[in-house]
Amino acid sequence: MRRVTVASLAALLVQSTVAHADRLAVVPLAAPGREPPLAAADRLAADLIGRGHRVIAGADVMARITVGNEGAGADWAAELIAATRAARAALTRLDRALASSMAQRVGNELFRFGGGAGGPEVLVEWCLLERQLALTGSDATRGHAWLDEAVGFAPSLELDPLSHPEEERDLFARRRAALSSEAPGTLSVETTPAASEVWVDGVRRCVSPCSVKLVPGRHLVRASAPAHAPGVATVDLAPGGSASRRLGLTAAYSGASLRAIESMLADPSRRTEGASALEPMARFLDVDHVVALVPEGDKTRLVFAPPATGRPRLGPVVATAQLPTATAEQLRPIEPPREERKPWYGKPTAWIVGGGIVAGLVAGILIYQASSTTTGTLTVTSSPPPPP
Amino acid sequence: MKVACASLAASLLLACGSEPGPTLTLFVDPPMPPDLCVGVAGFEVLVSSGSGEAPPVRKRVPSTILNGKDCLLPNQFSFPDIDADAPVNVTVNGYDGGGKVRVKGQTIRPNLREGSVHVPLGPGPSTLPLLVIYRNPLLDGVPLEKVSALTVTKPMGGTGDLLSVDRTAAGEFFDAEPGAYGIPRFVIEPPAIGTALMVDFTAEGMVKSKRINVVQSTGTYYLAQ
Repeated sequence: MRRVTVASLAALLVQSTVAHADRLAVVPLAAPGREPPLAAADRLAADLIGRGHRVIAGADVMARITVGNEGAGADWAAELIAATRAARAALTRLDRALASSMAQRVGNELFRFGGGAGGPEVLVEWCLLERQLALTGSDATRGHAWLDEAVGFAPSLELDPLSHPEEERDLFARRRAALSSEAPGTLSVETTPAASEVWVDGVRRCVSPCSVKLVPGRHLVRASAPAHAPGVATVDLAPGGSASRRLGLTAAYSGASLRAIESMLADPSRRTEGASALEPMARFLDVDHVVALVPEGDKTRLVFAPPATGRPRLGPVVATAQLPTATAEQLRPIEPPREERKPWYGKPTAWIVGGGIVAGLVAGILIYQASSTTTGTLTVTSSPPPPP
Repeated sequence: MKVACASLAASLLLACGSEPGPTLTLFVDPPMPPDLCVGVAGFEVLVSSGSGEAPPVRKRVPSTILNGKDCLLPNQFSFPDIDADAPVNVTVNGYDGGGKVRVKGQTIRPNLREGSVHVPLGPGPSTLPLLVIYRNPLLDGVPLEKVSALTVTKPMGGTGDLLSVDRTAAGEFFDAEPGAYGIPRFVIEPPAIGTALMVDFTAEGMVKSKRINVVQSTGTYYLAQ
């Protein structure tokens, strides 16, 4: 009941202060020793959506601003490999539910990052985990398919004998030999922008636009370029078949990280700086305002940060005394540094105008001289006396 | 930068404003013989050109010319703002004390771009024998400027005036001292030394008469006192 009251008051507060805003992003932020108020943010977002606003909820905001900024390299792959091994260990303890959950999370992560850029081992480990889950579920067919998929991801990989039993390694080697005799498929990749790195199954293969030969089966494709969020795709290649993918890479969020913003808002002396850090986030998300929810004691503080230019300002802030469970604060963003005033002779306009004036003056003088008669002076005087 | 621009503007203005027009200098040469110039009390310069006719400029000489070698303009006459590329007509007249032209020079120049030219003076319409009178000693302290007219007659049995001069007709040349006047009767009846003459000055409504005699004949003028 208390949470519902908080959300309603917060929604009322936001509604009353952003009368003209229709695009909002709600961002739950953590505070020292406090978790982000995820539930309150979701309720606030739902309430605002119900009032006709277009709202990007907290989870979506975090997904958008973290994609492309979270690494998908070797460390990321190592963590996932460790997770798959932990899941296999759970499976040996007959904790199938935990193993299945972990496998699903690893799979989601792999697909989210298009296989990543940390090598094919993590894909193989995940497939072999899924195979083991299928076998323990008495589904031999799915187990066989997962083995094929593992081989397809890494046809040249030798399994680690410390992590994989001999029987599994033999099966992997035999299936690899069988699939290598099949006609490879061709994958063509185009990207926007061009010249992006194309990674297939965790291995860098070419620079777009390009084509690669792959073992038939499912493959994860990732294209990355500087300052852009990676583009990902999944492709199923038939033996001797071909497929093409066109990936559009969007600009990556380049503003301050959520953790940095949290620490700035937690420090009263840097609160304005924190509000300013929300501006690039608003621009990246293409919303009018970012509403940050920050836990503060037993209250939730709402921080509004209107972008500096081209966006409507927030309305008057409701007095916080009327809201016992939520406080609101409209922080004025840091003014961008003023452009250094150039001297008049540093401005091209001044030279253009000055040149025009001078040209007009000279032209006028020339026209005047051409149209006017030349005058002279006549002097009449006595002849100088002859020399003696 | 501002200084540079100001200098540029100033240079433009100076360049536009300081370009001098051509100057034509007319050197007026004495007549031949120079004695033609004797009796001249002042000069007048007339200029007309394509841009119009300049107001005549008249200037009295400091002292009436009694010697041909003194035949000089009293000063330099300057006429600005004349169309430099149009023909210009210049006339120089030398007047005696009675307002008669004794010497004259004239030239027509195609433009003002010749630099300098010489204009010789020649005889004017009046080359009558000259009578020279120093008037101030005869006025008994009356300023010459108060005299509006003078008349010269022969005191005994003369037929009419030898000379009648009006200040209005003679203009500023009337005041040149001594007075030098062309006398028509002297052409046919040259005066002898000792010839008596009567001079009547009209000043402030009064007529002052003085008897004088011809005391000298220089060959170029007769002096009476």
